[in-house]
Amino acid sequence: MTMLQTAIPSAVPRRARKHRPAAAIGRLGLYGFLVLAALFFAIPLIIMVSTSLKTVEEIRTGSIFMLPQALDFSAWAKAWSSACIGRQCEGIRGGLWNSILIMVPSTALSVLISALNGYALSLWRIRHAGLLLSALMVGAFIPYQVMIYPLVRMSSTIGIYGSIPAVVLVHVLFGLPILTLIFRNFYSALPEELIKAARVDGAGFFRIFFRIVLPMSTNVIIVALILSVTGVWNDYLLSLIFAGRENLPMTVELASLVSTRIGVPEYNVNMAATIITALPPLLLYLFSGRYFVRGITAGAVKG
Amino acid sequence: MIGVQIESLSRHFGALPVLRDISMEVQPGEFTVLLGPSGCGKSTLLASIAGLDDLQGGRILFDSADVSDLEPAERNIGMVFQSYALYPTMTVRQNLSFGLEVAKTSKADIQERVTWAAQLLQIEPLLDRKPSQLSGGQRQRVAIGRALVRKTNLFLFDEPLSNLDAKLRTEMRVEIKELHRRLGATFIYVTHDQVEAMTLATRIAIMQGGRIEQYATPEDVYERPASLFVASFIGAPPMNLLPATLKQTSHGVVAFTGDHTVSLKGYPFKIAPADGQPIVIGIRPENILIDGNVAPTLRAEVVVVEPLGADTLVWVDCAANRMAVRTHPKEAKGLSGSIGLSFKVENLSIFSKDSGLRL
Amino acid sequence: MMARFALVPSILLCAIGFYGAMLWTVVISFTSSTITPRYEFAGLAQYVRLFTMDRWHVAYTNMFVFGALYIACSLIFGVLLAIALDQSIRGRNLLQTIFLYPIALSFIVTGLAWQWLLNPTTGLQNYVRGLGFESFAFDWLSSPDRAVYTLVIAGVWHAAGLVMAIMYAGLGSVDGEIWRAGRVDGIPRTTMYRRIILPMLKPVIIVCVVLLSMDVIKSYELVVAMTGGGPGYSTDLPAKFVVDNLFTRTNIGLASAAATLMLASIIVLLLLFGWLQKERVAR
Repeated sequence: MTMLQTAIPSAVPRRARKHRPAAAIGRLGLYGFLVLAALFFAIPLIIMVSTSLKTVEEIRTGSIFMLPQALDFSAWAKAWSSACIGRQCEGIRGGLWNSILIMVPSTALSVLISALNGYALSLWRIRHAGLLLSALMVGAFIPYQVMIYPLVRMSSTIGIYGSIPAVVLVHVLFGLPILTLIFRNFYSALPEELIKAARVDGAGFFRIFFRIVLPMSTNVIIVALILSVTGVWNDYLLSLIFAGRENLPMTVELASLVSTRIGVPEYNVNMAATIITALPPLLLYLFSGRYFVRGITAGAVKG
Repeated sequence: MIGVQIESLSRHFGALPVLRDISMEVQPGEFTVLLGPSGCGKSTLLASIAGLDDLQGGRILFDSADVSDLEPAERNIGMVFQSYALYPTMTVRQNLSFGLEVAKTSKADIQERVTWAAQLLQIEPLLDRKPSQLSGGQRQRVAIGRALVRKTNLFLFDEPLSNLDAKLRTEMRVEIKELHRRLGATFIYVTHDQVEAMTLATRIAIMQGGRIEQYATPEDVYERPASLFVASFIGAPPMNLLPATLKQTSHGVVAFTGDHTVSLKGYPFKIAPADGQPIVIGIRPENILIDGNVAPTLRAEVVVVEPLGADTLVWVDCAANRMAVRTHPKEAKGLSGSIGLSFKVENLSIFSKDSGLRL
Repeated sequence: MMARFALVPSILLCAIGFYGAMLWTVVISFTSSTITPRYEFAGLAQYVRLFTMDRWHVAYTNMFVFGALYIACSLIFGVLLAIALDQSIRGRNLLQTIFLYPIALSFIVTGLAWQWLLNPTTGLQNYVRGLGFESFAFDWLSSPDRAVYTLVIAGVWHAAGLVMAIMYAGLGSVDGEIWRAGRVDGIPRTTMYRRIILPMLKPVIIVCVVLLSMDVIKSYELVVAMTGGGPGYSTDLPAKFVVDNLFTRTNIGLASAAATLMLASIIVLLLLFGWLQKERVAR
């Protein structure tokens, strides 16, 4: 270092310090690593898209890394409206409507209930609030498999098994722990004086919640909604078991479509269906940016 | 002991200049305090001396050896940070020895230096604790200890006391001064607290807007501020400032302020005063006398009287200017209405209104 | 008063849905139920049967093999990515977006994408052979011994971005003066990360491990989409074992016994985590 230092007359620009050869090699290695990592993450998506745009013939003769010769959207059209799922050949478009029918009530209910829970747990003096929350969080750690059969029995007892209300109910149930935690953490950061002031003004529990607390929660509601929407959309097991054959959402339809084997496997159609199914959460991710990351990591900032 | 020469240093973040052509020389063994409001560039200047910040112009010499291109560790300095920056997962002992260990110092040598520093700072009982188990003052000592073990003669402090409460701050201030005396090393110390600066420094560099306004002993800075900024920054309450106009008369130089005429006869002008020049007269609150004479220099209206215990502040309005007068509690008793004020010419500071510099 | 009242529906829902259901499963596991639950005490018969099944042993072992590799690889890869992004580099936002997008996809989609890529006859192996390396073999997906590693690859692809995002936030929260102190002490960056920064972020790393463990325990869909548990039942997992026995093989008692063992494993894990946390606080 000292040699280098004497070699450079002090009149040269000071940036010299940053350009030591070892550092340059390090930078090169750093960018190399990042580019390779980016490829690792990007390649599956690139290949899915390129495969979906190829013809069956192209797939058979070429390699997966070859780009399609022409943009051929026929596989997308087929996946959407005429690919066979089991014996029905109507594509996955039916699944989209089912997905929405399941998603809207599931997310709305779980976000509202969780917000109410989080508010009650953090801002009001509830005995054993910590204990309640931990008891709730345990639910997030137990796999569905441990509870699923009794839940099937319960829902059939009350006569909703195999219907949209059943799947909505289990989504709400399994969504509660994490979402409640997110709201509780957010509300714990609100000043207690706010609630006190409102109570002095004579407002009750629900009035404070709807008029004061909820309007302040826009950010955390967006985070919770994103988390909930992605979770419900991407769910497979719960919908498969609880929704009933008529109400299967896209993710389940996709899995059935891919496993339906009639004649030559049409990988282009499979990939097109996969992308169509993945598109809504992917777009949500791309356009919501920071909120998405916050939602995903929200469980991480546990109090 | 290391002397530090700074030659026309400049630095800007984007379009914002932070250091503008700064030159100064810190003598070996000196305790220099960099003082100024936040954003004045004092921390950037210290970071440049440490080598933590890249320069864009100028150079830094330690004992006339150019260190501008050296990494901080190669400059062999000890540095104490505002947040202490102790390594939280390591014990105090590990905190002190980690740098030496990485530098491949021998085990025995490390042991010896750590013991020496721990003894000096009286932190021996804390050596096996983690930083989170220490109080603020103890963390501060450990942070100083980590600088000490580097066996250097140049110590840099970046607002080290600002995270302590008032009582501890006073205690640690005394200890740092004591440490400077015992080590005889060169200290450069950044603060925004003028009391710290006045009590610790052998010389204070007062900075504003990326420039050094004055670099002088605490007495000089207080009694003969080099600029209007220094005059209004140092002292609590700061120096009283009265706008005025200079006039050459047969009786010597006089200043007109409002209805009053102040004789400046005997004032040691550095630059010959020009007739009709707009100036600002500065006078410390304790240098003003409440004067019952028939012909006081100024007349003023008492606004409010603030007893501080040892002395009393009398706030007065003189023409359109509010001024503070520091006086003995007995003298302040029952003051009200119009009073007369007077002062000696040698206690005045005269500044050019245009340049803000001392005349 | 109202506050407590507002919590009642949720408490009831969770008490019945989570704890009631768990208890019910445990109860069924001690009965001789097959197609429908029959409440006839059968002692440990279902467990004994479970332990004689090779498929269960494979599934249970796979959970640990997959789990350990998935957690370790996601953690290491994610931490490296976070550190790399922390080096004041260009295009950070773009790279972050690329690293994190798989987390938005379902495990079904993830599994299908990787199945296509790793399929020996159409995917990577075929491509490399096409380049002239005729003997190149990458047929893990169809090899009973290796197929479980393909699950790890797909899983890491899905989760490394999450670790990256959490760790990157963690790195950003480190006091800049710690870095400056390290430079004054002459500590190389790599040593700083290894000895100081990463140990400082241990709580954040634990959070990542917890989140990844939850994925492992729930990993069902990835197997369904990628290998279907095959070849044979070489990539079976307890979660899949339970679902298959519940809904296609109608072995309710056996499935409940398996589910109870899953539950027991998780309780052990949770206690372990709790104990570790306590140790950390105590020290």
